[in-house]
Amino acid sequence: MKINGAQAMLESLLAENVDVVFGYPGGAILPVYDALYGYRDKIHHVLVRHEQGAVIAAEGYAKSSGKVGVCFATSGPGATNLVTGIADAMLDSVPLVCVTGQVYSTLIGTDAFQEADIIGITLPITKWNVQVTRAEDIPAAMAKAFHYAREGRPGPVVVDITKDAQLGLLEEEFKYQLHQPRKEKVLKCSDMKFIEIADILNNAERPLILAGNGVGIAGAEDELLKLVNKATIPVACTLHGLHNFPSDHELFVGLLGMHGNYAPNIMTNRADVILAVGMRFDDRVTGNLTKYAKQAKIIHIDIDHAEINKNVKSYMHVHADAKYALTNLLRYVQPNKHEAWRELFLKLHQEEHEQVIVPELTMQKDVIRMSQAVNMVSEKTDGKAIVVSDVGQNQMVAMRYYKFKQSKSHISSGGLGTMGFALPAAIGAKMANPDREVICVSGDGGIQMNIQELAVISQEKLPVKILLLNNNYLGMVRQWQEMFHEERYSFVDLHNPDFIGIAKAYGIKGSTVSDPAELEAAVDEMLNSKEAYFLEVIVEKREKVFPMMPQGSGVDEIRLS
Amino acid sequence: MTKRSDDMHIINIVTRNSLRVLQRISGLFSRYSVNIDQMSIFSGHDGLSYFSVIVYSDDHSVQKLTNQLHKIVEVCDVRILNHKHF
Repeated sequence: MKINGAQAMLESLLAENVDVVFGYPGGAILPVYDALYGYRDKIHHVLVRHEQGAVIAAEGYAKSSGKVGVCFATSGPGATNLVTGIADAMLDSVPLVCVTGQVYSTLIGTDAFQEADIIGITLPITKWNVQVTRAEDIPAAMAKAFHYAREGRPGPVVVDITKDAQLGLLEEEFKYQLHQPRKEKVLKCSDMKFIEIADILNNAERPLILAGNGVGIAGAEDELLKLVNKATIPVACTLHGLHNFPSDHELFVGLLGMHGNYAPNIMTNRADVILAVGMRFDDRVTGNLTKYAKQAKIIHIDIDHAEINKNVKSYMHVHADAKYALTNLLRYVQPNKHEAWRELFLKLHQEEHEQVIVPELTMQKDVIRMSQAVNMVSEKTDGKAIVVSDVGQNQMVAMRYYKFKQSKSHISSGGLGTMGFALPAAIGAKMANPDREVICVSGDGGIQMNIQELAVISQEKLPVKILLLNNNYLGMVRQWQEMFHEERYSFVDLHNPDFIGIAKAYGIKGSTVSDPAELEAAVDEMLNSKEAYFLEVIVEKREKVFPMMPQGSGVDEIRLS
Repeated sequence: MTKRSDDMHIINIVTRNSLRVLQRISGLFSRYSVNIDQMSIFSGHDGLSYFSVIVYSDDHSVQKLTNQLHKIVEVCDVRILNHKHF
């Protein structure tokens, strides 16, 4: 039996073991939705309320499962609404296949209704994109799309399919062949190089490992742990690397970067050898590059060759997958102690603990702090929940105070910093992990950027827990205005709606807590709820997140207050 | 912009010949703020396109740009010639 292009696209998804898709129908993708009706039992389509919700949910799904996230949107505005999420996925290396409908191929270039050049628009923010105008080209385009989304450093791919291609019949029987590039890149490195790197590590007095997103993407968490345990090297993590190393490990020194921990930032400029694994020396991590780790021999492991020497010049590099590199390195590193170096960590950690952490976590009588709410959730879930944070103060606090013990647990928008990320990403994460607790941590600004997706939680009956840290401010911007713009609070004051009223209107239970004495009971109620729950915590209005590395300063100029 | 002969680089790129490949290549140059001085392209009978691009920029910028060029799926080969080759 002959199938049409739309069916061929769905068959391609099945061949790639896709069973969840996030999307929104419209004119130019109608044939796909028509075909989808017949695939309802095989493909679970989640109907979002805005296409940005679809692409971000697909990101949450991909980040929390390691699989490719898939989303559908129609042409024109449907496709352009995906753009922010695609750019987000590009910067955070998230494998996505975004299928967009396009006007009839005969109408392309005529300014037809809902026509947008989505291939041109997404060209700089995708790993690859393609427009398909003939039904028979669809299986090969889909195979190529999945290949490039996953291959090497993952990223987003857009497949734009014209309506006539969706409707057209395939001339031959449907056949799906995995894409085989003509020259398969196998990234290998000589034993000699690993011996040389191990030698540098073995002779280091103050070695430091910087673990990034690549550790998790490569599935190299165990290899990292083994290497660290064997050679006793302290580990600092980037935002996306945080869940790739257990936070209760004695060699975990904390989070890098602008609002990271005190010790790892200072240690970066004291280390004699830095082993950077699957991270890209983002400016939020390095601060001022001219003052960054000039004393250290930097060994950079990354699968993306363009990242080597892009921001920071490395002494040696390994252009390969983190798992492969760490497995090989493990063979040659020798047991070590680094006692004096670890004592420095304890001393620095103590400073932060006394000056920042203890005062922040000490309960006050009248007002709750963001850190207290996150810390309580962390303790009560034993660091085993999936925490999906938004962008801003809530994100920094979630990272600092949630003690992650499992990989694929911290989902956030790191590179692009997309406000409104948390709610849809939490939906995606829950779809991929129905058995794990998924907690969306958002601020009052971010939640309103995609608040419409509460309807999805309700429709899909997803027991996602929403922890809204409400200070009625755009807190991070306000913090910068206070610190660097002479307290000129320019448009950061939010007059917010009744959030619980909104949640209830969407059929979601919720409550508000502002009294510190009632926080624990409120968190318990949220966590014990078998269905979705929206907990609004009214927090200290003028809280600032510390430590902080002011823009333009070096990592060791990080401030505790 | 003054053209220093030491800054001259000829970047030869071989790509698969497909729609948008010129846009992908030229987009990278503008994204990395490297102005194209001259560019010639022809498509061979082998399904490949041959780009020869002349830019005036420092080695480091050209190297960074080249690293990104390699990531374009359609790109098969990139070679750089600079003043040391002439």
